Amino acid sequence: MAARAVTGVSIGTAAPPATGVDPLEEVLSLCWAGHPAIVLASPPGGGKSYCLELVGSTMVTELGERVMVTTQTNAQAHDLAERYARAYPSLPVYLLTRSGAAVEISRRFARFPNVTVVDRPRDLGDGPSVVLSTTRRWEWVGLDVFHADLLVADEAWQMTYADLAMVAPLADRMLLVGDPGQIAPVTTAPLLRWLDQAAAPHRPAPAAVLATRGDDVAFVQLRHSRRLGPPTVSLVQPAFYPDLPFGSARPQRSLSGGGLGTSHLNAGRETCMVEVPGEPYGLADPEVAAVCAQVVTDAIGVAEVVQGEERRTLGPADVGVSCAHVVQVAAVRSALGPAYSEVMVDTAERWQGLERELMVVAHPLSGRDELTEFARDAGRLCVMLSRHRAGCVMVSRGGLRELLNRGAAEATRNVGILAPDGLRGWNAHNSVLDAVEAAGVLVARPGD
Amino acid sequence: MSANAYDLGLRLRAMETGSPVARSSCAHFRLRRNADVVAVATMTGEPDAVWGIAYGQWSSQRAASFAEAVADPRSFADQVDLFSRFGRKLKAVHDLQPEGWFPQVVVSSAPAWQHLHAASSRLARVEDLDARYAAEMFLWASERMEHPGSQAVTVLSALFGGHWTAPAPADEDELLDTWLSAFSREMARYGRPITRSRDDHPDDARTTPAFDEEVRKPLAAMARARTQGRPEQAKALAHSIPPRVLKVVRDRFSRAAHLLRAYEALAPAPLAGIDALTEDDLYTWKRFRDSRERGFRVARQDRFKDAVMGLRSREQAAEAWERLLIYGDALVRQRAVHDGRAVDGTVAAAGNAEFTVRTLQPMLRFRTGTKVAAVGHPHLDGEIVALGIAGSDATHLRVRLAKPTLEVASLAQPIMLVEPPPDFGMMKRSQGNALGRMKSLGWIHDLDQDPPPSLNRPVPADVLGRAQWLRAL
Repeated sequence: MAARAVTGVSIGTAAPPATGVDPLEEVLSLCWAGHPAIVLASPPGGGKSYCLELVGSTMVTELGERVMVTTQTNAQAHDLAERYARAYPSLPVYLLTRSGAAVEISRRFARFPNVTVVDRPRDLGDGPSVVLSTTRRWEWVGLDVFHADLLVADEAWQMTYADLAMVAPLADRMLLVGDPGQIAPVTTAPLLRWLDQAAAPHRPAPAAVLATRGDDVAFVQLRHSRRLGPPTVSLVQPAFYPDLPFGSARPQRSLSGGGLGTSHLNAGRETCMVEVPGEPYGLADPEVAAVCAQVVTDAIGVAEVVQGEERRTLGPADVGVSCAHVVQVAAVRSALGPAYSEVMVDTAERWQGLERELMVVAHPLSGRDELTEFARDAGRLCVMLSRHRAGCVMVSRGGLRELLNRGAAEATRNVGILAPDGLRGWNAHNSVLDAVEAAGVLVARPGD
Repeated sequence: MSANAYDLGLRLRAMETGSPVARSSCAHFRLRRNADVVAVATMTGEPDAVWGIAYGQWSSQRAASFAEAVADPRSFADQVDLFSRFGRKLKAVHDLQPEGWFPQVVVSSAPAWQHLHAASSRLARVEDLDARYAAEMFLWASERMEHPGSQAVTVLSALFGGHWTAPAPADEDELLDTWLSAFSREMARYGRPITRSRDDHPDDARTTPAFDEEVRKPLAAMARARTQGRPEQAKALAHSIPPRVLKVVRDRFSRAAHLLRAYEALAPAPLAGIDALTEDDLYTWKRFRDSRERGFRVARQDRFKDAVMGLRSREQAAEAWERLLIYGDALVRQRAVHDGRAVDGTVAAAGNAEFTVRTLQPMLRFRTGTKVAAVGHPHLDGEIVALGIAGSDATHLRVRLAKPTLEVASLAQPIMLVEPPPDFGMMKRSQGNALGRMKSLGWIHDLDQDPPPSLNRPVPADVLGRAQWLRAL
C-alpha cells in the first residue's frame, strides 16, 4: 500500500466578522417581543443548541409560555431533551414519542425527574413547558389537542417547506434555527414540477420562508464557530457560506504526533489531504478505505490533542470517519476490523450535528469518473469538513481538478433559479481545492 | 454479478437465440381487462400536433371504438375539434363506470405518450370543455406516471420490457415494433399475426417519410386554396387526408391490442400487494373528478397546497413501491442484498421474543431501530435493537419481535431480512391528515394573509444578560 501524506491547508486567522448587537441577545429580544417569525442561521458549532436551550427555558419560566420544539430525527429530540433536563432541572420538559415507545424511552430519562415521556398528545400537560418531538410525530398531533405559543424548529435547513406547513399551524409564532451549509432535505420524489419555484415544497423551510415572506421575517445570524479553528473557518466559510460571514471563537487547540496524515497537522494547519496513487477504482475503493483505516489506527493512542497546557491522547471515541456512500462505510469498517468498532464510521448524513477531535474524510469525488449531482453536493462536503475540533485528514485518489473541469457545464439550470444547487456545489469543490492548492503542495502524484 | 451484468447476459442470450428471454421477475403492473388503449399519429417535426387518435378497450374490441383524424394537425382549431370529439367519447365511457373505478390507460409506445402529453399540455386551457376533459385526463395520467407503482397508466413497451429481454439493441426497447417482432410467434396463438405495413415507423407515433410524401400534395393544395380564399376547395381537399391517417392509427391500435392479449397469456404472477397500490390512483382520480365538477383551474404553477400534497403523495408512492418490490419480488430482493437494502444471513441465536441473524454481507443499510420483516416468516417481524461486528467480516443483527412467538426460529436457518411491506392504511390516513392541515395554513404559507402583529413586549435587562455567553468567549 503506497500512500503518501502531503501538506495541506495552511491558512491564517479568519477575518474577524462584523460586530454589533450580540445575535443571541437579538434572538432573545425578538422572541420576547413576540415577533411572528424569526430565522436564525448558524455556522457549524455556532451555538445553536445553546440558543435553543436559552430561548426555550426563558420563554417558559419568565413568560409562562408553552414552547414546542420540532427536530428532524428521534436522536436529536432525545439529545435536546437531555440537554434541557441537565441545564434546567426545574424546567418542565415533555418528550412526545411514537405510539407505544414511551415506556422504553422513559428508561433513558429516568434520572431526570423534570422530563416526562409520553406517547399520546392528550397526556401533554396544559401548563408552561417545553415539548419536544420530531416533525413526523407533530404531524399527527391534532390541532384541537395541542397548541403552543412558540414553535422552535431545530436543524431547520433539513426540514422541507412542506414539513413546516404540517407543523406550523400548531403554534402562534415560530423560530427556525439551523445551519444553511448542511445537506438539504432528502426527497425521493421527482421534483421537476417545482424546480423553478424559489418556495417549492421540497426546499429547506427557512430558505423558502425568506423567499416568500422575507419582509415579514426577522433574520439573525450567529457569527462565530466554537468548534472550528481559524484555519478551518478560512477554508469552509468562503466555500460554503459566502453569504454568512463568521469567524472562529474556539480556543487554541491542535493535534500533535500521530502517523499518516495527522503528523502533518499542527496549530497552523488543521486540514491535510492524503492522495492514494493509482487510477480511480470506483466507489468501494479498497485502497482508499485502507488508507482511511491507517490514518485512524496511526492516530489512536499516539496523537495528542493540545489545548494550552493540557495534553490528551486520542482514544477511539475521539476519532471518526465520514464517507459519502454506504458502500464506502462498509469498506472502511471492514478495513478497520472489530478491534476499532468504537470508531464511528458513517455517511455524511449521519454525521450532521456530531463532532470528533479528529475526522478522516473519504473525499466524495474520489474514484469517480463522472461528476454526479450527489458527488458535487456542497452540503455533503461541508458536513464532512466541519465535524472536527482539532484536525481533519482528507483521503482521495488524484484527478479531482480534472474531474471538476470535465463536469463544469453539467450543473442543471432552471428558469427562475439563479444559483442552482449543482453550480453551488461545483463552486464549493473548486474553492476547497483552490485553498489546498494555494497552501503550496497539494497531492502526491503516483510515481513521485 | 451486478444488475447491469445480469441484464447484459440476458440480452446477449436473447440476441443469440433470436427469442425474448424472461427476466424471472413477477408482474409489476396489473393489466385490467377493461384497460383503455390509446394509439396516436403525429406529423413529423410537430411533436405537439396530433394527427389522429384511436382508442378502445383491448380485450373486448377487435377495432378501436373511437378513431378520428384531422386534415392538418398544425391547425389549432382542428386540434381543439379532435380533442373535443375524443373528450366527449371519454366522458361517455367514464360516466358509466361504477364507484371505485379509475381509468387505466395503455399507450402503444413511449414516443406516442410524449406526443400525447405535449398536445394535452397545450389543450388543457381551451374554452371547449370536452377538449379540456380529454387533455386534463391525460395530464392526470402523466402525473400518475411519476408515481412509482401506479396502476393508472403504462406504456406497452415498458410493460413488456419489465418481464422480457428483447432480441434487439437496448435503445429499441421502447418501440412497439421491437415487441411485435419478438412475440410474433406467440401472438399467432392469440389472434392473426399482424405484419408490418408500409406506414410503420420505428418510433410509432410519427408518420413516415413515405406517408408524408403521400399526403404532401393534397396538404400543399389545401394550404394554397386556403390562402387564396377558396374554402370549398380547401374543404374538399381536406377530406382526402384523414382516411389515410385513420388507417395508421387503427392499425396501431389493433397491433397493441394483439400484443396485450399475448401479454395476458404469458405474463408471470403479479407482485403481492400490488392491488393495494391502486388506492392512491383511486384517490387522485376522485380529486380529478371533483376538480372537473368545480371547473378546471388554469395556472402555470401548482398552488402551494397542491404542491405539498403532490410531493407527499409522490414520496409515499416511491417508498411504498420500493418496499413492495423488495419484499415481493425475489429478483429485486436479490439485487437489494448487494446494496444493503436486504440482509441475507443465518439465525445465530433464537428465542420467542428475540432472535439474532449473522451475516457476512459487507453492506448494510439497516441500523438500530429499523423495522424489519423476515421474508416467508410473517411471525418473525420486529425491530433491530442491536447491530455489531462479530469477528472477521461477520455482522450480528439482534431483532426484537413485534409479538412473542411460539414458532421459534431454528439455529443456522437461512433468513432474509427486509423492510416490512408498506402500511397502506397508514398512508391513506397520512394523506387525509395532511389535507386537513392544508386548511389551517398560516400566514407564512398563505400569501393572502397578513402576518400577525408583534406583541411588542419590552425585554428586561436581566433577561438579556443571560445571552452574554458568546460575547464572553
